[in-house]
Amino acid sequence: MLSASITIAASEGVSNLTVFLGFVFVIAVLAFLAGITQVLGFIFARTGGATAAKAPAAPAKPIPAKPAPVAGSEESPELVAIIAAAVHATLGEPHRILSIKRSSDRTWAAEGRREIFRSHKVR
Amino acid sequence: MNQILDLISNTGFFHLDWRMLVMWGVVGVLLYLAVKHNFEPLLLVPIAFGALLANLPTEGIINKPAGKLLSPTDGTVIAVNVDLRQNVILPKVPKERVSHLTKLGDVNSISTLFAEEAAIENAEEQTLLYIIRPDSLSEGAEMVSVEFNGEPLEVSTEDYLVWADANGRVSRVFLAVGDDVNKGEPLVELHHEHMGGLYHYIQMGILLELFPPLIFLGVGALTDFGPLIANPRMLLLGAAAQFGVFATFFGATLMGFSQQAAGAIGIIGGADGPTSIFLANALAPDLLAPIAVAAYSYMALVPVIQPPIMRALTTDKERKIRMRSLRKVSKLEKLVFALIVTVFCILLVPPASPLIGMLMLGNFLRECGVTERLSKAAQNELINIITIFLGTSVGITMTGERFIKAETLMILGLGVVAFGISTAAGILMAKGMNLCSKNKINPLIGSAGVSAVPMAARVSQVEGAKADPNNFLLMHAMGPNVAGVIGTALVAGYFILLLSGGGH
Repeated sequence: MLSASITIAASEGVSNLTVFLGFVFVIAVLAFLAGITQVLGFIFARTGGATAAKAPAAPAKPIPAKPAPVAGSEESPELVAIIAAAVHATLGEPHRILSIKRSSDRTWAAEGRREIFRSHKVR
Repeated sequence: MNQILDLISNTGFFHLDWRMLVMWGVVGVLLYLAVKHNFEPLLLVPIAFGALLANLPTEGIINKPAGKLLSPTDGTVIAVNVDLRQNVILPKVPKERVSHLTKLGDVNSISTLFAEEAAIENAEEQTLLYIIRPDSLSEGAEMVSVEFNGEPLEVSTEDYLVWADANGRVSRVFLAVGDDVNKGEPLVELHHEHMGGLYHYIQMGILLELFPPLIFLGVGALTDFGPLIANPRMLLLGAAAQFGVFATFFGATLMGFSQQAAGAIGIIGGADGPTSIFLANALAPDLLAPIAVAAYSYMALVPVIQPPIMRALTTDKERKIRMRSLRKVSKLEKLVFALIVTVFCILLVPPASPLIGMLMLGNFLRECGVTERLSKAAQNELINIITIFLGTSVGITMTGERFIKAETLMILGLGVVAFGISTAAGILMAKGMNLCSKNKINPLIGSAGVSAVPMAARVSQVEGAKADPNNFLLMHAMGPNVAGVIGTALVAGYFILLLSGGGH
């Protein structure tokens, strides 16, 4: 250890080169990894193309389509947007929301309460 | 009356010294930042509390078990101060001992050291047991006349000192004056019924390099590489942000740190606590405490340090760039990615394997969908338990003697420089990539290349939202953020590969 630090102190050029090479090395490694991932992405896009390609288009379609049918109801636009987003996140595939109705029963509240109780259960 | 006086002298009050009191102040500041301002409290609270324990005359916390003392070098024994069946008693408050006289530097302080040791009246409390001269002295070595064990002795400025590190009774003496000795050879064996304190064992997790990889297992289980896989260019931002590490490495060598120490200090710029600890322990164990504290405090200070740099380096127009939304990444793709990164990184930089291997194992557990219980354990219980142990172990290395040094301030200073340069390099890389790509990147996410997950990404989001409240950068910033974790681990592996040279 001691002899190593002495020889290094004697030749400052070594440390310069180390710095430079190390950074280039890390950039090169990660760039290569990026390349692999990109290629991988293309392969997956091709094989699973049907679902992957349409997914980004999906959120754009239903949102403009929706306000018309819902316009008659009393729900605020914010709530409609939230519900549309939730539906999109759950279904994922292309869809159209035709109507949003308030349900009269208390299933949701009951379900929420059940979730809370379940989370306390010791397993 | 005498009994009462005895009782009083047995309390801890007489063992306090001023450094401890200063460290209480440091502990107070850390606790204040953590509790009042919520700066990385999960880490700072254990660290600060550990530091408090380290600066009290504790018993049964950090005592080492008695055992064999090993020779630090190949050489010749030139003095021995140990007899069979003699008791060895360490001072109540452990003192930092110089194991190699080159660390003292000048002749005067060597004389002082030996004078202090000779002044201890009770022979059992003299804890300098062996002096060993290495085989080859360099040309600059000077000889110093000192008194040791009541007799005059010539020591060179490059001799090694072996101090007792535990209380005990000498049960066996292996070597005498004039004997040749090999590195790692036992010199003397001590015996004691008590087998060492709580944190002696818990700290083994750092010394044996167990904790950082285990933390990485949890980090892997918490990390979603999706944004990175969707936009692999982000890996380059994570790589660019390692520039600060190398720049600081260079700066630290200029300031007189050894290359090993410089590497360990530079890695602070990567803003990855476990990696910093991993590397510091491998290359410069003496500097572990200041490096860990710097790494964690700067991670906590990300929202303070980064924004000015981000604003200075970007124009308003650039800050408003909206990025194309990310494609969805399938489960299979994430799994393949985890495997590829593991194989590829370990083949390239074998010393990074504990970190990368565990990171990707954790991630695989998360993404494969059939090991939910294991993934949850890694994300919660495991990482939390290890964090408590790691934090307090780091804190306990912060003894006043070790911490209150000019060196510590230099490390804290270099650390913040490293951090700033890394931030800037990430942003500049993003701007550079914009020059040759039509799919523009918002340069604000470049700063997230420092791996403080997810704090740095959140800062990008906040800064982006200041320029354009409807711009959501968070998911985009997670890409370089997690790339930074991989990048920093690679740099650490690279440094170990290059600098350890079998030295540790």
